[in-house]
Amino acid sequence: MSGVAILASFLGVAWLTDASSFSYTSGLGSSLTLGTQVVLLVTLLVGLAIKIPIFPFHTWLPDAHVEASTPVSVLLAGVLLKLGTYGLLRFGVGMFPEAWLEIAPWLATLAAVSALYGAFAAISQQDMKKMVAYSSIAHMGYILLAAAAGTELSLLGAEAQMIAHGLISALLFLLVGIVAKKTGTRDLNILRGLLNPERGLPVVGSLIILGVMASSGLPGMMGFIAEFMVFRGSFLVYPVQTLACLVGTGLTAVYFLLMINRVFFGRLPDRFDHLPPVKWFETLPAFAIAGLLIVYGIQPSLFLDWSKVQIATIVPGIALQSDVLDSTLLHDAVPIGSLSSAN
Amino acid sequence: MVSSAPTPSAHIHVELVHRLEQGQALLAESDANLLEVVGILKSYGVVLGEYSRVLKDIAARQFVSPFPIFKFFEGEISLGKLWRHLMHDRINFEYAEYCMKGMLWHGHDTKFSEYLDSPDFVANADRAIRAWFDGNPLMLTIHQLLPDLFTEQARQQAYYRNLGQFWTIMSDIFLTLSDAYDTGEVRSVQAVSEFILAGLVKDAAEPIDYTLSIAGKEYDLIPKSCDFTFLMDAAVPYVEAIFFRGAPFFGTISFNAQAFQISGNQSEFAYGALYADPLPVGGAGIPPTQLMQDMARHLPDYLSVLYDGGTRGRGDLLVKICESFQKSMFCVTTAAIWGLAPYPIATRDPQELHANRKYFEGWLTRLNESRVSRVGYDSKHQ
Repeated sequence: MSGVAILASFLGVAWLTDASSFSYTSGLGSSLTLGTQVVLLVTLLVGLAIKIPIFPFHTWLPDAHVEASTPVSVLLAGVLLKLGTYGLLRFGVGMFPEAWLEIAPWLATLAAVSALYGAFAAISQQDMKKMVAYSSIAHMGYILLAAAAGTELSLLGAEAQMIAHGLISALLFLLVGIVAKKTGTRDLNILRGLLNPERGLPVVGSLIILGVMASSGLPGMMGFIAEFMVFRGSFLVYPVQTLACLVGTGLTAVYFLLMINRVFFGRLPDRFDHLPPVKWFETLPAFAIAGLLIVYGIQPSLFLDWSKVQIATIVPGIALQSDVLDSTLLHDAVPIGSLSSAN
Repeated sequence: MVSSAPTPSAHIHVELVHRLEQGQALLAESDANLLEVVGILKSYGVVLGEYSRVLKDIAARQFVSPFPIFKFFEGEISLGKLWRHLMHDRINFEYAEYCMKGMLWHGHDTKFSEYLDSPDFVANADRAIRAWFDGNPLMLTIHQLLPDLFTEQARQQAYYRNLGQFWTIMSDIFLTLSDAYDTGEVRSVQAVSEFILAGLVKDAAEPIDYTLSIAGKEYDLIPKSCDFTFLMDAAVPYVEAIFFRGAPFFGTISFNAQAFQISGNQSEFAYGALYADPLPVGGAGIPPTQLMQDMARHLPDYLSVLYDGGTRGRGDLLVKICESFQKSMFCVTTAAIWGLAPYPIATRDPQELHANRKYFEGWLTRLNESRVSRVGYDSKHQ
């Protein structure tokens, strides 16, 4: 369904504009009437919303994660979902800037709904993997919010959030996979005390706690950098929706602390007191990802410097189309050039 | 030593009651249990020897020192030793102190404790304290103004001495037991308990005393004339304090005071080594971890091989050691139960058998919440 909607939109652009490339300089959607742009953009967005996924197109994701093996879940969360958000920025914002401004308020509201829905749904989960999956839905909402706001800072935050979420969710799915492999279950009603230093999974537990801290946006890790830029960049444009998303990020701590408390604290049940040991190579990828989260959290310019050029290409496209919004909002109070020094 | 009361016991641990009556140990009989118990008691014997040496040294050298910073150094202070101490390349003497304090806190209803509160001890301590601080007007003035301050410290030092003497004997018993196992004299769990009982009986009358040498003059804080002995004034209070109520095992069981899970009657407070959950051992703030670390450094080869064969190899060594240690403590408890029985286990007198049964049932009622149900039965019961 997603592919069909995206293909339909692209074919519409190709037929109506005779475009033969996706180059920003080719004009593409700008030559179309606003109504046509909106139709094509909405079609494109439906396709992308399934991929990302955004509420109410999300239903496939938790089920897919539950059925998927750990490596597939890691790829799914770390790479595949980001195709959707990449498409959002590259084709949605980039190709239809005028139409984007028309529907952006609706998208921002949808982003807030998606973020809150994902968070509340995560709280109610009993399966660790489903909880992480619903967390993904919530965090993808932040990217949609940032894209809807369309400021330099928010778009830069969106890119940062794509990387941050890719790393965090990959880390969490990887570790949840190890927990499931060693214990034979992901059920929060069964797992207990896995931080036991001798017979539990203390290294895995510690890494999950680190991943959860990053996901909750604690300073010192990339999740904080990304979410700060998203919310800071979006607040002036969509304050209510941004505040709703901020509640969502607060709820991240709620559901992940529930998970940590249940799975890792308390007494290790007797049924788990002879768990097989975790080999060093099983956690090696997790250590690498955790290292990246911290490095980018401390020195985000290592990544952000790459993204600035891309964002600078997209933002003027929106700004030129805008006769409603004040340019200071679009470019935000924090100039893009000052980001690296600010962080 | 086989004789049984005529009618079956109605106790919840009927099998264990009958085993005690028949002179069998609380710990289930098996080759694996025997190997674990003897092996762990060998390492425990080595560790207890170290603990007891330092405890007695502290009692002798530190007495009422206000700042006993190097109390674990036994007078040998060097940068190398300090470095090894800080790097934890050493025995965890802190655990020995936890046990000493456990006895101090829980020993208030014993004869030994009563003597420490008596005017005789206070007078003895006063003389020793004045001699200790001779030429130090500041400390003498403090002692004059706050007479309970150093006297209380002297009481604590008496427990350092008591536990040090107790562990010296226990260390010898355990190391001799290990030798007996190596030569094939001990071949069953029951024989282990009997060996320990024999050791306890042999040394039962060994004196517990405390004499300080200050400036070449000796001061009796607990003179031999008090007739404190190894079994009744050290072993029994130790079992009560450490095995049953032992503060050193806090953290291994959780209690909710607000849910009234802690009895107001301290003698009902089951918190010690026989009740400890081995699983949390190894975590932060779990004092038994220190004992297990110490024993891990002195494991006999055959026990190391057994532990290495587990699922996690050495990854969960401390928990395995704690499990073995708990089994061994049930063997010691068995010996203590036999040793304190009102009548000989082999008696055939119906009245004595009845009295023994009531005595055994009383112990097992007290042990009901302990780990006896895990270690006392073989696997087919679990």
